Amino acid sequence: MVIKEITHALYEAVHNNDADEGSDKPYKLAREIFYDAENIDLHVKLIKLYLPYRNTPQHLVNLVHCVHYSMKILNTLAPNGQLVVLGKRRKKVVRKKNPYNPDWLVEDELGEEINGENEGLLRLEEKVGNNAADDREDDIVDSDLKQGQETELAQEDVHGAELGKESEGNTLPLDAEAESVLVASSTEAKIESERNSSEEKEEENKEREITEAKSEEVTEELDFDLTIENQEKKSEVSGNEVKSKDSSEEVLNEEEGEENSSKKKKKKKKKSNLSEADLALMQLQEEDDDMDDGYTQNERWFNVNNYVLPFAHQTVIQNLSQLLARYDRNSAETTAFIVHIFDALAFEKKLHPLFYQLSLFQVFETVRFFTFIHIYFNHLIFKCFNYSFILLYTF
Amino acid sequence: MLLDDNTRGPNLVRLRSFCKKIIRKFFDQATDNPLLFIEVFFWKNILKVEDLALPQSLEARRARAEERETMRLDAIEPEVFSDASDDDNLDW
Repeated sequence: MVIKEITHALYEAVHNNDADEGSDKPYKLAREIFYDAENIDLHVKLIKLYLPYRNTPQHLVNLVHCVHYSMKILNTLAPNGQLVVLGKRRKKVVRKKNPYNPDWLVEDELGEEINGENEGLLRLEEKVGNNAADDREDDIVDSDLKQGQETELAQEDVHGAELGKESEGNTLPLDAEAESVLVASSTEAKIESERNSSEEKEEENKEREITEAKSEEVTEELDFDLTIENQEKKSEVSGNEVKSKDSSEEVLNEEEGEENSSKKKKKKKKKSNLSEADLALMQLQEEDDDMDDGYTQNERWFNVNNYVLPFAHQTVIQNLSQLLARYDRNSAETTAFIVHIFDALAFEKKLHPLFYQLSLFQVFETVRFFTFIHIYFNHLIFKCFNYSFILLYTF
Repeated sequence: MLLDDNTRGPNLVRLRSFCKKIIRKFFDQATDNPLLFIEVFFWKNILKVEDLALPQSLEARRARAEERETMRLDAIEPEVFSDASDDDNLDW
């Protein structure tokens, strides 16, 4: 009832507005209401949901009135017959990224990917060159350390022998021995300092190795959730970190880079297996994903004359014909509106076979009508024959 | 409705004319296609209605379906007879 009154008021406002040339507010309001395709199909849905002995006939009458007025409003809104309308809303399907499914790995076109990979390879080559230079330095440092350790061991033996002599003898050292002890002490200090430094370095290296191993594990896990570009960024970041750290870590990072390259190759193989149709589908999905509000929004042209087409349904015609059968109790408006809808369907859209239905013919009382005509004509013919015979006999 | 004299008034003239139009169309078509007398017993889909209203559309649809089938068969044939097609291609 409320919907009927609102639509009627809107229709009157729009028409009076055209006459008075006032503000465009009712026109804009109508335009906003009929901008959504769901609102246009609302009346048909409600008529389909009508149940004869559950809902009152007045409810159906109100719906028919709404349909009639909305048809008129649409005709005023679009005099050319075309109206821009928001397409039907379709809920976006959120796809979870499955790490074991390689389909989502393809994000960009093949050319860009290949270029990106080439860049990555170049970076890797540069890294390898830097690492080679660093490795030489490492070798020098290692050789120095080794020499230092060897001297240390040799001097430890000497020192231990001296200590043993000292502990055994408890005698005052000789001048020669004193000199050797002094030398040993001086060397001891140096060696201890060196040893401490080497031990510290080793410990640090061990710790870093452990942390790197952990980070590698983490990255291996995360790599499934990251794209190729992110991986490249990561490699860049790791490269920057490498320069700041010691040279021993760079060797490990080289290994990382190699692992990344092997992963990329694997992904490339997977990509090559995918067809172009899949790529196109992926692009379409990306376009859909770019839309906001979780719904896809598509504007399209709506022909106002096609507003009646959804009424070409079994239940709609059944309900409306049942309402039409009680024409003696309905108002003249409702019957006129129903006939308006039926006329538009049958003769404007040329769907007249939709009404070739026995129940409708019963409503029209055609069977009785035709039987009546048949009897009437037979009667006439019989009468005519009789008259003719009479006439013949007379003349 | 048609028998009722109350429908002859000015308010229900359109209703009466609509009923007459529909019935006239039905009997015009039923003379050519007597199967319409059986179609009266069933509710019709919009596709079926289009076929009944425009018999040309039905023929066009059949032609389109035949074309599609031929296209499909042409696509399948070389796959099925791959050994034979190789020999045929050599003649070219």
